[in-house]
Amino acid sequence: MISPEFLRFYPFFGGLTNAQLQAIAIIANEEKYPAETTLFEMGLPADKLYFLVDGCIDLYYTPREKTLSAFPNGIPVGEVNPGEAFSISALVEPYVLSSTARVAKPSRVIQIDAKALRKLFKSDQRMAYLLTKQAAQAVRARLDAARVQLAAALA
Amino acid sequence: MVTPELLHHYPIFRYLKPDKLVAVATISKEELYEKKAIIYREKDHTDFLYILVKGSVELLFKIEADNPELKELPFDKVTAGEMFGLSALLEPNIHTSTARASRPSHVIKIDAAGLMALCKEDTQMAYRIMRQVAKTTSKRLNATRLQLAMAYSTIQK
Repeated sequence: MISPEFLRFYPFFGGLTNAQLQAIAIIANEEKYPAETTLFEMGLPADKLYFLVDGCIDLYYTPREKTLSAFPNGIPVGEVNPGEAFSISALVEPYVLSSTARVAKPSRVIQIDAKALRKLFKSDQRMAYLLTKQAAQAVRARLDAARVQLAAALA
Repeated sequence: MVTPELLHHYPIFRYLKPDKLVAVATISKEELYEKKAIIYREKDHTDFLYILVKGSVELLFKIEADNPELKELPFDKVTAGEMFGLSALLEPNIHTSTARASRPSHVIKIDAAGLMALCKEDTQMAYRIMRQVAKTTSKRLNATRLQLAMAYSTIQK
């Protein structure tokens, strides 16, 4: 469990009440990971929602077909900076990870049990709406970044 | 005129109660677009959420490139039953892509401000709609990343 006040620092939780933050804090914990740790892999169930406290996380996309020799570990598709959420797929159906996350620098993260969070959504639709909207905006930001990358690749 | 029965076909509205379907129907209208017609442009303010009833719509974005043939790049295709113009429900409510009919297309246009007003009164409705918005945006992200992989694959050869 973490302190609900800690969650207040993150804009992702803006608009939530103290009681809602308390409910999320109970299903969250803080972890530290050394560099080069693979936090999660693309294609697996999204069981946790993460927030980066400090450090740096790189995101990679691995197409289903053979690995590109120029990108043996997958195509870099983004970097997570402190304060940002990742593993957003935990809040977006079908709840399957759409990228792989690797720790670039020793990092401290908040991990939220996604199944427990989705269960909270069933009894608190306002929380569900606010957090799903944040997730949609985060995915849109990733989409904008992917289009910039695509434009650069084709230029 | 858009009927509640028509709206009920689409996942975004499938779980709405009858009175809510009626309310959404009253703020919706049908439109027909010819092939190559622009439905909305990137960077325009969003006024409507769209559902494609029949036909096909391309989503494109502008790129800066020396190659004049690459001015606008398609990154996804909307198929019948899908919604588009999702920025209408996400601040800052500016279209992040251009939508163009690739075949004659029949769409439902829903007044976004009216829809948000209905959502303020009904959080369950708001959540169900936002779930679909997130899911559809995620699908577009995956499609774009796949295109990115194909682009790198082509460069590699």
